[in-house]
This record gives sequence, structure tokens and C-alpha cells, in this order.
Amino acid sequence: MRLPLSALQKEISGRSLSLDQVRQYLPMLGFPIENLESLSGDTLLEIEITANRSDVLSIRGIARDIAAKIGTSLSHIPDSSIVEDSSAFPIYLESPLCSFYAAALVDLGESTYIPHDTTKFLDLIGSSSKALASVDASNEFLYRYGQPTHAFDLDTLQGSVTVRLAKSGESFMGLDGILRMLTAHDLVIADQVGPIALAGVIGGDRTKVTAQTRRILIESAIFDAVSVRTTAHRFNLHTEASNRFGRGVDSSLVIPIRNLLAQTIAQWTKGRVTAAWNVGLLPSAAPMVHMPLSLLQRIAGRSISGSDAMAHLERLGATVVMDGTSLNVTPPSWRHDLTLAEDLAEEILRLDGYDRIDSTLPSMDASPLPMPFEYTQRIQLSEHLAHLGFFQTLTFGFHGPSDEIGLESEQSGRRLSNPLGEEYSLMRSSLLPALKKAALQNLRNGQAEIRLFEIAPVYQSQPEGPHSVLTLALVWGGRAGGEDVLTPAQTISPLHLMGLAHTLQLHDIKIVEIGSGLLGFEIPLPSKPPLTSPLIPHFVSFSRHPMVQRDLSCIVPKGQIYGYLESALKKVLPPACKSLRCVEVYAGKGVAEGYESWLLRFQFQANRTLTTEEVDGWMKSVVDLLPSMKITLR
Amino acid sequence: MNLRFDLLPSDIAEAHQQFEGWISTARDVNEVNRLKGVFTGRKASHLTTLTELLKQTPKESKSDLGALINHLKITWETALSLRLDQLISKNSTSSIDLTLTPPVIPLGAVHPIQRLEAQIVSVFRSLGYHVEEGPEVETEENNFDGLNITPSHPARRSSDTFYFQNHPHLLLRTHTSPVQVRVLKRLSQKNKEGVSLLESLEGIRFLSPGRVYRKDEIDPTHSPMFQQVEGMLIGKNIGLHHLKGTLSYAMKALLGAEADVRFRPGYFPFVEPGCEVDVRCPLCKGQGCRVCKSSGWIEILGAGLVHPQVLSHAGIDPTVWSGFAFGMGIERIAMIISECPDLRLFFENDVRFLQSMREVR
Repeated sequence: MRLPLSALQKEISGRSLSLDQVRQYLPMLGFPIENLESLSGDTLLEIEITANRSDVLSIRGIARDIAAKIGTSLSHIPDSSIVEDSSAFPIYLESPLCSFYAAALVDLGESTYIPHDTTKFLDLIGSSSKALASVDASNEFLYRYGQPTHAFDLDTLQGSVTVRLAKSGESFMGLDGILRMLTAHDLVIADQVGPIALAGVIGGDRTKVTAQTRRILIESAIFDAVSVRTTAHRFNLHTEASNRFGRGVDSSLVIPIRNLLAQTIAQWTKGRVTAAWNVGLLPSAAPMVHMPLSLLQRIAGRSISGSDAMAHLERLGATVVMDGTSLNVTPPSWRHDLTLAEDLAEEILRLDGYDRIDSTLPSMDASPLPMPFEYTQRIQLSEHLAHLGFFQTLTFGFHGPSDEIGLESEQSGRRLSNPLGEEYSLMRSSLLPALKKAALQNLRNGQAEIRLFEIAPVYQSQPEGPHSVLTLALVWGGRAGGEDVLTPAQTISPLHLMGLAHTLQLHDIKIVEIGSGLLGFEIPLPSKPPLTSPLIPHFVSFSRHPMVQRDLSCIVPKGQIYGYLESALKKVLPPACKSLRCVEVYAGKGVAEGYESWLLRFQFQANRTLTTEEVDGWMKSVVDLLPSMKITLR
Repeated sequence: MNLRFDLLPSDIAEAHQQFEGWISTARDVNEVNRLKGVFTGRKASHLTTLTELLKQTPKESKSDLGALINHLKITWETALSLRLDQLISKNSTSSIDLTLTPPVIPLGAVHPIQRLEAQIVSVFRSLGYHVEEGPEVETEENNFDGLNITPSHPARRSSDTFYFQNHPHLLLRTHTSPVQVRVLKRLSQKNKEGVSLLESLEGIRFLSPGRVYRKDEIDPTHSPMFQQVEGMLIGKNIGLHHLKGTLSYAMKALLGAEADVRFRPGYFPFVEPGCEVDVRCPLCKGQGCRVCKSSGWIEILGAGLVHPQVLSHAGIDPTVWSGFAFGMGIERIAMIISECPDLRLFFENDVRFLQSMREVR
């Protein structure tokens, strides 16, 4: 909200208010200053208002908080009582969504005078003068006092005025020149022809005030906050009026502002107020709130006396009665947000100063609970992968149908009803499309080798809604090595990924080629820990006796799969064989066409020193098995 | 003084002439040691031969021969030891050209947001907090109703929150606060003796880190997905002073002992009283700069005492139990600390960025 310093100062009585004071008080009262600039000889502050405080959507509202803080009062709203008489013409309140309607009629004079103070104020606040007394005065009082008002050109009205819900199919042309189709939920002001205003939101084009207008009907009313919010939202029409009615206005201002507006317009135009009357009932005072002082003490962390608490609340306009160790508080008509004892405690502390609250660590006997497995797993796995040269990515949880490979019918349970765009419309069933995009972008940026991973949920459509599974996905590709004198260049092979999975103890991975030399896999992560201590693994004893290594070079027909040989050999090897690896595959000179030479490496170790004879025996059983697989020794 | 080489026996004179050649062509340490034995060894070397010869030399030539032997001894020993040093060092690293491009030992990186998240978690772990995680796909009930956010609240509109097409009551959580609702509901459950889990635990304190979604277009300061860390403590007689003490401790642990925390009134439907928490601008140390808009303070999180409605909604008696909650955007804190100007960088996954954010500054 824009706040000219001079306007703020004008509302404060009895004390001068410097810019430094304003800068100091506003943030600590809950209104952070977003911007501050010198403009037209004044200082313009832009402040942030919280959603619960409808009462500070005016200069006077902000001034009221500052006055309460520094212990002074507000200036009086210019006195402008006018004689109310019986209604000049009927106004019917058909819907309970409008409880009170104050009206006045003004015959406009010939003058087009608008005070310089008003035009300057409107400029500063960001709403320029419309050169029409009824419009400028209405706007000025809206910003100054927070009560929205409206002026209709009386001579364009047809018959009586009714505040009612719109009829389905009824249309309405607003002041903005846009024709809108109304629903039966929209509250309107209507004459006998149809709607002349969308209540609390915007006036109508047909009855708007122009330079030719001679007589006006002034409206100052109370409309239901939720109804105004809903209508404003339905038409995406958030106006200064709807912003204020939508949060609740101060019922005590409805009549004074109607009077002030009518007299001001009459005065500026040298015209006269011809009638003023009210329809409906002003709301009764807000319910009383009971606040035990013990609650205040608990919240504040220290004792605040009943009389201090009472004084703070009274400065804010509340009526307070001390009742033993409690306060009975009737909030003022402008504070719709004070309904609980906690709300009152906040107000007391706000004036007392949040900076005066102590700082203490709570003492708590409750034992710390264990960290969840899924969290620890995510953190540990990420760190392992980072140490293995992989970069963790962070991508959005949704992607588009073109990123999906599954059936379209399956996708519907994961579809957002209001996505940012088609490309963000589905909760993803795989992390790989996003990783692929990131990998390709990095390749384009000149990275030779790509190592990326992400740990995030993926989704499956289930009858009760999208079901999430925490998943690890990884992409590895490009050209490794070849960038120094020791490391030969090589392309990343699926075997590299197998090795990585082995290191990370990930089983049953399925390696996929995702194009451009990129390989990847994706694997759901367990939701429960393996049966081991979370702190440190269970001790497994190991042999300190010497290890015996034997190499065996054999000639294998091309096309033979190593895995078959390994599983066959493992059947005949003793538990003392701790490792069997194929460490070299060679074809070429010295090996016949159609054959390969495989170098197998065996490592034996036991809880005793192995003898040459027993290792020879095991190797013999290996050699004896080879012919059955058409393998010979080299 | 001229050295009298003519005093040398012919075989030693010849050997001396060859010495330079032999030394320079000696290919290994053994060969040098063999030469060492031949020339300067303690037994039957050229040097011992010459020493013997000196004893038998007539007096008038003695000093000449002595000077010659001295010269040869120094020459041979120096050359041998130099060559030996050369050969030994050839087998060590220092003879490799260390200015050659070394191989790259790859080191990746945890995403800076997760690293910061883990740091925040570890700070609160030291205060006894544990982690509670919740789903990204939430119910309206947990995301809004349970948090005292009324049905007409603007945040619930489809212009602000993502909803699901076939599941109208499901949405993508807009904050990590629904985890509060889930935990509180669990804590209110009673055992056979009628004792609630909260009573048997005598209170709880936890953190909920995670991804949240809001319907914002992507720009330098907005993203439809970002990460939050939520914290909550429920106990007895908990007040704003406890919240202040906890957050001051945490911010000092995270940002350094000089980190100063300021509380301002704020509003969130699920806390009352509510606060905005500022830290003294870590860039200008409170002097006022562009980042803190000359105020010396940066808004870093929202907090407050748990609203009694939130407790009673979950089945917990607000006249017995009280607590505080706080929430912060991790990207926001990361951007402030790192001075990274564009939120989008955190989601672009450019390795150059991830690498640059790896080093702790």
C-alpha cells in the first residue's frame, strides 16, 4: 500500500511524527517498508499489509496503530453531520449479503473545482484525479479512511433501487466497459431495468457519473466480505473497493463517510445535499473475548500486568473490563481479526514490542526420536554418488505427456486440472526424461562426460490418487578420459553402470539407452531399512591369512557368455574362493579366428594358511570343467 | 700447483681417463656401486693401491703424489655420489614432469539446496529434533482446513494451487505445514489406557524438509516448485520466548555467531501470534545494502505459536499443550547467502553451476 508521509502525519493528533519514527515503527508494528521515495515534495512509503488486517487498508488505519504505539490519538474526521430524513425513494435490501445501506442525494452545482490537496494526494497514492468531484472525493476518502463509496448519476436510474442477487443469465456492463454474464451468486445493486453495480466490486456504465451529471445518489454500505471476494475472484476483478469490502469494513464509518462525501461534493461543486437516509441495520458490536492473564504470560514468557495489557488494548480502541485475573475485551468495530485470546495477546505484544520478548531455549524432557530411514538414505546415497563424481539435479515433479511412454489411460490419475502448461501437466512416472534434458543441455554446454542423478518421488495412478515412490535415477554418458596423459579416452559402457550399481549395492537394475551416448537407470528405493544397525554395520569377521591368487588363460568360442561360465565355475569352487573375475578379453594375433582368450583371476583365502596342494586341487576341478563348455586352456 | 699425473701407475692412469665415460654411461645404481668399489672401495681399489704406493714413494716425490691422490679421491667420490643421486631420483616422482596435465579424479556434488537442507536439519538435530516427511500430493484437509485456512482463502484458488483432475480434493502441497497436521493427528491417537502418543512422548520437536508447489510462472525469483523446511515443537507452557531462543540458536549455528535475529509481527492463519523473522543482513552486516533494501535486515522465515484451532482440529487440547512452528524457503536462504541472482539456476542443473556451488565459501 502506498502511504504519503504528509497524509499519515495529518491523521495523527497531538504529536509530530518524523520520517525516522515512521521507518522505525512500521516494521515493528507488522508493516514492512517495501520502498521509500521522495515525490512531489512528499515522502512516499510503500508498505506490506497482512491479509488479516482489513483495518489498515487506509492511511487512518495505519496512523491508528502508530498513534497507539506512541501513545497519542487520531485527528478527528472532519465534522459533517447532515440531517437524515425519510427515504427520498425506496431502496430495498433483498439479500442478507447487504445488511446496511446509507444513501444521500446531492444536487451538483456548476463549479468543477477540485482542491489541489486532493489531486496531489491522489497522484501520490497512484490514483490520478478524474476531474469529477464525486469521483475524486470518493477515491480520496477510500484511501484516507478505508470506506469505499459510490456515486450514481441519479437521472439515469429507472425506478427504485434494490440490492439483490443477480438473476442467472443477467448481464452487466461495468465502468471498465466490459460486459459480464452474472451468476445467481453475484450480489448486485439494480434499478428496475437491471444491475447498476456489482455490489462492493465495481459500478455500472449505464449509471456512471459524467461531466454532464447534475444529480447524484451516494452509496455507502456494508456488503458481505465472502460474497464480494467470491464475485471479484470469479470475474478476476480485484478493485480497491472489493479489496476492502472483501476483508470487512468499519461499520462505524459508513454513515460519517457518507455524510462527509455528500457535503464535500456539495461544497466543491457549490451544490447542495438534498436527502440522506439509511436502510437496514448496522451490525452490533463484535463478541467479547475473554483473556486470562496467565495466557498472556505464557505467550510472552514474562509477566505483563493487567493494567498494562488493558492500556495497550484500549489504545487500539477496544473496550476492556478487568475481571480478576482476566480481561474481558470487546474489539473495536474496525478489528474483525480479534476473535481469540491469542489474538489479543498478539496485539498487546505488538504494541509492547516484539523486540522486548526474551530469548530462551525451551527445556524439554522428551527424548529425541530416530531419523527416518528414507531421509537418511536419501542424504547418504547423494553423498556417495557425489563422491563417485555424480552431480545431483533438482527438477520439477511434473512433466508433459511427450515425456511419457506409458498408456494415456494410466496417465489420467496423475493429471493436474490447472497446470502451468501442457508440458507441466502430469506428475511424472519417471525421473529419466528430466535427467536426459539436463544431460543434453550439459553436453551442448561442452561437457565431455555427463554424470547426473536425482532422488525424488515418481508417481503411479491409483484409484485413491497419485501414489509416490521414492526413486533414484542416474544418467552417465559422453566421453570419459582422453583429457590427460595417463587416462585413455573411452566411451561409457553399460558395464560402467553395472559396476556403479554393484558399488552402491543396488540390485536388479535395468540399464536404458536414452540417446546421444547417454545411459541410465532408475530404481525405486526401499522404504524400510535393511536389518542392520543404523549407526554402524554389524561386524563381519575376515581372514588375516595370506591370500592365494591364480590366473587362468583360456580359449573360448566367440559368443560364449561369461556369466554362464562364472555361474558354472562357482558351483565347483569352494567357499575359500573369495573372488572370481574375468580381467581380460583378447582376440587377435595368437588366438584362432572365431575364438577369444579370457584371462580369469581366482583369489582364495580362508581362516588358515592354504596349501599349494589344495589350491592346485581346486584349480584342477576348474580345468576339468572347461571342456564341457568347449573351452580349452591357452 | 701442477698435478704430477706422471707419478700414476699406467693402469690407474688409464682407468682415470676412462672414468668420466664409465660414470656417465652407468645405467643403474649397481653399476655405479661397482665403479665405486673399483675406484674408491676400502679394499683393493685404485685408491687403496695409491695409498700403498705413497708409503713406498721416496721422500722427494711424496708430497706431489699425496696432492695427486687427494685430488683424485675428491674427483672420484664427487662424481660417483652425483651419479648415484641422479639414478636414485630418476625412479622417484620428482623426475616426472609434474607440470603435465594431471588426470581428473572426478568429484560430483550434492545439489546445493539439499546440502543446505541437510545443514539446517543437522543444526536442529543438535537440539533434539528429528525429521518427519510427508507426501507432495496432499489432501485439501491437511494442506488447508487442518491449518485454519478458511474455504474462501485466496491461497486455495486454482490460480494459486495445483489440483488434480480426477481427484478434486487432492492437490500439490503449497507448503510443508501439512506435515504438522499429519504428525499432530498421529500424536493425538490414544492407546488402550487412553493415553495419547503425545502424552507418552511428553512433547515432540521435528523438522519437515521437502518440495512444495505454487502456481507461479518461472522467473528469476519465482518457481512453481521449491523447497521448504518446516519446524514444530509441542510441549507445555511454550511461548514466543522459546521460539526466539530456538531460532536465534539455529541462525547463529547456520550463519555464524554474529548472526542477529529480529522478530516482527506477522500473519499466517495457522499461528497466533505470528512473526516474521529477520536476520541481520549477512552481506552488509546491517550497514544497509541493495540486498536488504538498505534496512540492514533480511526476512528469512515465518513463525509463530501454533494456533489453538490447529491443535484442536488435530484432537489435541490447546489448554494443555502449546507449541511453536516455523517455516523457511531453502532457495531463498541459499540465494541470500550465495548472492546468486537467479532462482532458475537452481533448477537448470548446469554442471558449471553445481560445481561452483560445491565449494563452501
